[in-house]
Amino acid sequence: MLKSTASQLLFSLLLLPAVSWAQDEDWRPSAVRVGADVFGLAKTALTDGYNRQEIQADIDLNKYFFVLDLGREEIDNSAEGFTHTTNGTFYRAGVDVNLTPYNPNKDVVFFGLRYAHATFDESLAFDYAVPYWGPASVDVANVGLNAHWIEAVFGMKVKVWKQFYMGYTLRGKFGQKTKGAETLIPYAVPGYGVVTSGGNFGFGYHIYYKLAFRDKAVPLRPKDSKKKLK
Amino acid sequence: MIAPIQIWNRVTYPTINSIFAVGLVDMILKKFSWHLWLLIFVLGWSACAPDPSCSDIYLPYVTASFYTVNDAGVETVESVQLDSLWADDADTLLYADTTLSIYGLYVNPEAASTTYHFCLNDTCNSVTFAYDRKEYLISPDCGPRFRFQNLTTEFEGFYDSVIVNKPELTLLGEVNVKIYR
Repeated sequence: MLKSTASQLLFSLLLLPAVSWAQDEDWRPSAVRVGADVFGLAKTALTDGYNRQEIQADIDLNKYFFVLDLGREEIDNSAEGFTHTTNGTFYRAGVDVNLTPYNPNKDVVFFGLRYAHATFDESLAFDYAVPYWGPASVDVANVGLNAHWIEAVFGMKVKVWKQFYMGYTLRGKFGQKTKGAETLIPYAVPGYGVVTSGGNFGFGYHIYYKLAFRDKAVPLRPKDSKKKLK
Repeated sequence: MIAPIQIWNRVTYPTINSIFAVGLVDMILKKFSWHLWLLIFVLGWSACAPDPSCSDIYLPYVTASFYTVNDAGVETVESVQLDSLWADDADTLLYADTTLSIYGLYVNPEAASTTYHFCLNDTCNSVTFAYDRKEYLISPDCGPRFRFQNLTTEFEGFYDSVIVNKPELTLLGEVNVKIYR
């Protein structure tokens, strides 16, 4: 139910540019913005057994942005008595709507939806002792698992200096499904986090560099353009 | 002499046009102060988020009860005396000279099935429990566990029937297996 609603929302968001195409607006892309998630890098530096790199790119199309995230994540949860590792790659693709298209600085407050997919391996080894059967050990792995989920995102990208932007992204993740698991039940999915029966929450803090192909004028608010005509 | 009051947003710094300039840092701090608070909040929230409970509903044993059914079709739990109760591939008896109404029968985690022998007066009934074993990590603090599910049974001997009442080995609900005599 939730997944189908999210799919419909994503579909609607993708259709929005097409629906609005007939209007007299500038639809040619003007810039690509590329960035890195510094929150993941900071967590990598501060947390033992954790490693994440993530890059993001967006391209503008009127007040919409097509967004692609690529990342890799390694998590080592090993502790006394067991080893557990998860590592893999993920991507997210989707559309953001710029909620502040008239901002003179071209700062962006956005809402969007993403389809996300991860490919990963997971392993678990531990010693155990079931009463009556005595001690033994187990070593299991899932190789080449595929997971996908939907994200609703909200955030901002603010110009700080010349072509540099900074901003954060809040992510609500839901509808996660994993295929290919054998006896080991997946604990965490790269890009998604710990698998839960409900959804998950994510946060990213990014630094971006904007590569502009051309100058694009900030559109006037409808009421301002009327004044100008008078 | 009264020192001049320095107002935060009026502080000026020399040389601006460098990414390392103090003026840029000042500008970022002013423009992004609430971003930094948000970052601090998120970091604090993630650090203070409660750890999941280590309690686990999954069990490594089958619970089995004995029943009799009267002429009216009403079933009653009854205590059963056993001289011995043991499993194939195990070195010892699980129970000896015991009378219980519910028996906890540990399954062999290294096998896909476990066969138990219920013996009284030199006569034995055998019940084989087949199951799927799954492994999972509760959390890094709590460690890994097994989960046994999709329980099925086969039996040999003088019992009337053995039925699976609950195919997942958990704390929740009733016994896993009902044995009718």
